[in-house]
Amino acid sequence: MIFHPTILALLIGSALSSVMVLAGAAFGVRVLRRWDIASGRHGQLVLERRTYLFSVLLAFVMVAELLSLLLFVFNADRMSAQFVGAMCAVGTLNANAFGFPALILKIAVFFLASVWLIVNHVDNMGYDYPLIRVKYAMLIVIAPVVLAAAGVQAAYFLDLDPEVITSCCGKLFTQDATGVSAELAGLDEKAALVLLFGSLALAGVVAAVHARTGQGGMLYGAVSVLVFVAAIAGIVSVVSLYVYEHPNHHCPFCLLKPEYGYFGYWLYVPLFAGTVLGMGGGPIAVFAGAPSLAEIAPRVSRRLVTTSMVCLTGFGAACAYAILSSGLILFGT
Amino acid sequence: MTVWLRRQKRLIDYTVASLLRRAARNFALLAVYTLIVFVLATVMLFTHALRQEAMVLLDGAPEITVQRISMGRHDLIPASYVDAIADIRGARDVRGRLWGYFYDTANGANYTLMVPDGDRYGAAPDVGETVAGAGVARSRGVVPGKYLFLLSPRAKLFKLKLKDVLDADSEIVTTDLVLMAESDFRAFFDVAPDVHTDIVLKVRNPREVAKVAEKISNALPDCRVVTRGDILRTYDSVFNWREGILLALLGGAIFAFVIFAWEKASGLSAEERREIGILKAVGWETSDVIKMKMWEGAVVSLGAFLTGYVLAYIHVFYFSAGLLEPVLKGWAVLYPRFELTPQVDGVQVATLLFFTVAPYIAATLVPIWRAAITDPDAVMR
Amino acid sequence: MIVLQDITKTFNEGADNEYTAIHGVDLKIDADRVTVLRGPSGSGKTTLLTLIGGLARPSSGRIHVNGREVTSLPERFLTHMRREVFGFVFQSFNLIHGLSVLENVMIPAYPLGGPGRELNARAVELLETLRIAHKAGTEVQYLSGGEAQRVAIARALINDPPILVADEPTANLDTALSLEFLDIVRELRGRGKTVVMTSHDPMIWQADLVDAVVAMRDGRIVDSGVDPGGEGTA
Repeated sequence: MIFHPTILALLIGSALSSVMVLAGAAFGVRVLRRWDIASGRHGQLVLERRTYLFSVLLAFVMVAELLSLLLFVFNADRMSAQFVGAMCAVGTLNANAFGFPALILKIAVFFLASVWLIVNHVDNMGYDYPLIRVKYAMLIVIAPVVLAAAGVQAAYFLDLDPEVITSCCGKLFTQDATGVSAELAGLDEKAALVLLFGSLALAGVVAAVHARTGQGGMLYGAVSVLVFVAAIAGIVSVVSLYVYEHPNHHCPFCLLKPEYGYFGYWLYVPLFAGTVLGMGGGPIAVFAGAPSLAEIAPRVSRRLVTTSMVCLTGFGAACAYAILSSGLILFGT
Repeated sequence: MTVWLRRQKRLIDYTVASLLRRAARNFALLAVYTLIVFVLATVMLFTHALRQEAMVLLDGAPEITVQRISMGRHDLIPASYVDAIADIRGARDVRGRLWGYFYDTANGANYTLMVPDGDRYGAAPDVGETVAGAGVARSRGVVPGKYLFLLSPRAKLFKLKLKDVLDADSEIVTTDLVLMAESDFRAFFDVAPDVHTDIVLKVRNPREVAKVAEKISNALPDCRVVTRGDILRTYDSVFNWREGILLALLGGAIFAFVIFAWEKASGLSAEERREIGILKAVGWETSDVIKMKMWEGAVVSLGAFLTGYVLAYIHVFYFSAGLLEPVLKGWAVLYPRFELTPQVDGVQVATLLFFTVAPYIAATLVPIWRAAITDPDAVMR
Repeated sequence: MIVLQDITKTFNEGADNEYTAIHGVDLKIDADRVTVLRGPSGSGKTTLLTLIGGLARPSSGRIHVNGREVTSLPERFLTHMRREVFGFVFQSFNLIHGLSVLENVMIPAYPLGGPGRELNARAVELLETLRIAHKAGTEVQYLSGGEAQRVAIARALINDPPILVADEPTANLDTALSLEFLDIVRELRGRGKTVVMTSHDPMIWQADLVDAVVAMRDGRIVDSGVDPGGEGTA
């Protein structure tokens, strides 16, 4: 284990979040079983008042988890100096078997948490707690993921050993290596670009339909997940090459470094924002079925989907800019 | 959106006004909070600055350094060892280095005298010339083209023409450097022509560093072989151990602070209780009260955090962390001189937030909620 | 119109000190009228007022406000409804000390997030109507009883609710100020507001502008809605 304040902060943060989420899930079970909005019973009143507490607690957890993801990535990048063979976050994460699983779980928690916050927000707009069951059912699903993320993260940090010689992006993201990262890097450039811009175009069409008719919210949610996957594949296999102006440098993390003008932020901020808003914003249109949300849900959904599409368009534009302005030429003219 | 913003603005206005009305009561909390941030920030800024300096030093360090040890002390190393090491498979760019410390009686400063190796510091000085660090040039009042006079340990006066001053960007490592030609260096320190201070080499494949180091120490039993990893780990264990001890001690302080914050947040005065009752009675919703109280927490946190951090910054970088000196003094062993370069690091600020603001907010959530669910008819009873 | 059906309120239910303040009350309160709940202290009139105004929930029974059943509403929505429908004037005024008159008046509107300038203008206008605008910047703890009450009334009206609820409005006022209060009530009635208040002050329930007086004793209504002073004059 490497004793380091940021690691300590991440561990404490995860432990705190886990306890709160567990308490929230336990409360969720009670809500699912006992919630009866029409009842004026004392028990119902107590339950109702508790929802305020858990709303705040969980909002706190979710915000902490978002920060924690950022901190995790930055910390990994910072710690790369301590591992032989590590030049950026990839090397640090690759220092033991738990690094990348921890990152993936944390990203999953980030998405789930954000979607939960969006649902919570919409629920708070309806006066009769229309989504309370959905919300707490979701929480019961999210809780194990938060716990798993905390556990894997703890395993990762406890198992970190500076003696270990790790391999960095140069090794990991090459065609001749094995594993998912290598598969991504080895993806045919043309195919990756078609997938990337194709999925963005698809999202645009679905968003336009949604804006006009209010239909297709659920589909947009699914498409935004597709966009995210395609985008990550696209960044690793093609876009990064253009940014680095190097035919074999596939790293998704070095993009965030000052050497490349922090270009990664232009890609990741709109991509993550767009994906989150799409994943949460699309599906909430479904909740128009609840009388108190009949008018609110479609309006909020439309707004979030539009914002999501603006973000994704920004992401697409950043990718296009990287490709067009690069000195690297991959495809013969 | 504008409605949302206006609502938040009003809640903030309200909470700021209510904080100011109870300034005396809130002062104790703010003071303790600021102190906690200050102490933690001092430790973190300090260690981070040291770590950063070490990293800069190490950045240019060779993969392996070989020093000859005689009677348990670092000794000059014969030039023949260079060839012996060069024969080892995997070793590349084996070079003997010449460097030493020099105490300048003229102004009581320590200089690092060195024969440049490669072009790291620009073109090497010719015989009779020198390139010096900004600190040296400044303290001796020499500008390029003028002469730098140094009295050698053998009391011989050396006159070197200052060719150039090293870039201020890399001042941390170079400020005390005096670069000179090999023959000048040997004459200055009276070093025999067939020895070096130490030998450095590179290893292409990082996985072979340990193997090469082992081969060298087998071939040259009177030498100590230091790899970059060794230095790194030594620095790290020194930093981490001390920082860890401090943080463990401070953990207790944070815990006490959390309890204090919880107490403070739960122990509402009759006046505050009445006020929340009124707000509920005139139509504020439970979540409005919670939001208002959260803003209060945010305002207090922001104030304490900024004040504490700025004070720590001043303390560390302008007063060399004087208050912590007895605890941290051992660090100075690593460095002959002790000036830290101001550094603000986002990851570090975020970490500090996690250690101070997050526990504070977490500790006040439940008390805030409890206050907020006050019955609206409480004021009528 | 507010309709109460078989309302009971029990405090500390199940505990040793359990007591029932309201026993099976049925009551109708007409819109655009001035209704007074009268009775000796301990008769349950203030408790009933809190139930009418949605500040508390009955232990049993149903309350309809403008045709809407409110007893089973979730707390969140009850609050929303309450701030749209009711304005409250409390016996001890319950102004927040340390804040100015103007700020106190605007507080109920803060969570609504309306434009600041509009809100300010409305508050000043209300203070002018109540002839207290000259004190807008004064902190409320320096006000006299009569001034404090007018500020409390202005606060109750800031969100323009159709119903004003007042608990013992003249308990802390002398005769002259009590008459002034009645003038204000008359004006409100003239503007189409419904006013419901409790009082044990004969000056109030004998006033000619009062449309209905509900007499209470021991948590029960002993006389409901007889108009003592003929049709009120607007």
